[in-house]
Amino acid sequence: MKTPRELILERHQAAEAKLEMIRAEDLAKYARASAAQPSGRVQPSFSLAAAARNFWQESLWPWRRTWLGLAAIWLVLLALNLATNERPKVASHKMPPPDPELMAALREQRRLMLQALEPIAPPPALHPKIPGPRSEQRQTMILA
Amino acid sequence: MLVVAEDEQQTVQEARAGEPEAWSVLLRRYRLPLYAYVFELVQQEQTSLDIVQETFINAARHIGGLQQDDKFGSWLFNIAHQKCAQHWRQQHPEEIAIDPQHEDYPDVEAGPQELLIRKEQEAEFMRLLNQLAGPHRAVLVLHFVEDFSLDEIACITGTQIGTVKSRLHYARKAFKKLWEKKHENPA
Repeated sequence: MKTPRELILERHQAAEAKLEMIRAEDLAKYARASAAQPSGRVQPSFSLAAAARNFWQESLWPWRRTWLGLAAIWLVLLALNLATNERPKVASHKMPPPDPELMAALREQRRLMLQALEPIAPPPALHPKIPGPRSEQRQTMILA
Repeated sequence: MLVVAEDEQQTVQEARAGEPEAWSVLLRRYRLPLYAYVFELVQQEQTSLDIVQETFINAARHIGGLQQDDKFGSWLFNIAHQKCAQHWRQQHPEEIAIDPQHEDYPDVEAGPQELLIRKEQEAEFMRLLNQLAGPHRAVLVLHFVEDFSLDEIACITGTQIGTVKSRLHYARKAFKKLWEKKHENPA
């Protein structure tokens, strides 16, 4: 009777010889190089090449068929656009001369509008007569 | 985890300092379980060997950043898992693993040691294991081979603990179903 662990490891026992190619001395060398860095720890460093490679591996390459399909669609659209090459006809369309009667009617309508909108002159202001002081009235009466 | 030598933390410290003997100890301890896990995920011998080698080289280069020395095992498996995932994405870009809805599953289930396999059942056990879906097989192998805790499996696979519980629950259930079905109908 075996446990699953024993069974799984036994199944892969043949790989043990090939796994011996991983040398402890090499790993120790890498670890020493890592420890020799100023902070003692591996600092993540930004590199444009690594970022581009990462972008290629994670964003472009897995969906390469989708990107190719989109590129093909754009090319077809561009080709169709170049093939049809028609200019819009609105600019070249000439207007017919206006009807004289219509123009006269419009002018008349405009004149009436201006008249209606013309400002009306205000009537002259009537200044109310301000009576003089009572003393003057009295003097007038005495003189009379 | 299974029986972890008490002096593993000391070994990890020595490995960080660049001691070849410490790396030799870690290699002997982890290379075969790591290979078994990687192989069960990628199913290709040469790719598995390459991934194990790259994992150890990465570990040696970044061991300075390891925060908890007692977590060396799960940290190492996490590096390998990421490499497997990268390999998987390159091979199957259109496939997305879908987990069942998370539910509440019991935290404590029967340990892997409770399952004992008779000699005549060994081949069948491996065949049934390979019938499971990739994510389910991954958690089950981690559970069987290293007896990692749910937290550790979550760290290794880069998933939520609920996802691990769900996957482990479904994996064990599916495995048990296949196992019982086979032994009810041996033909």
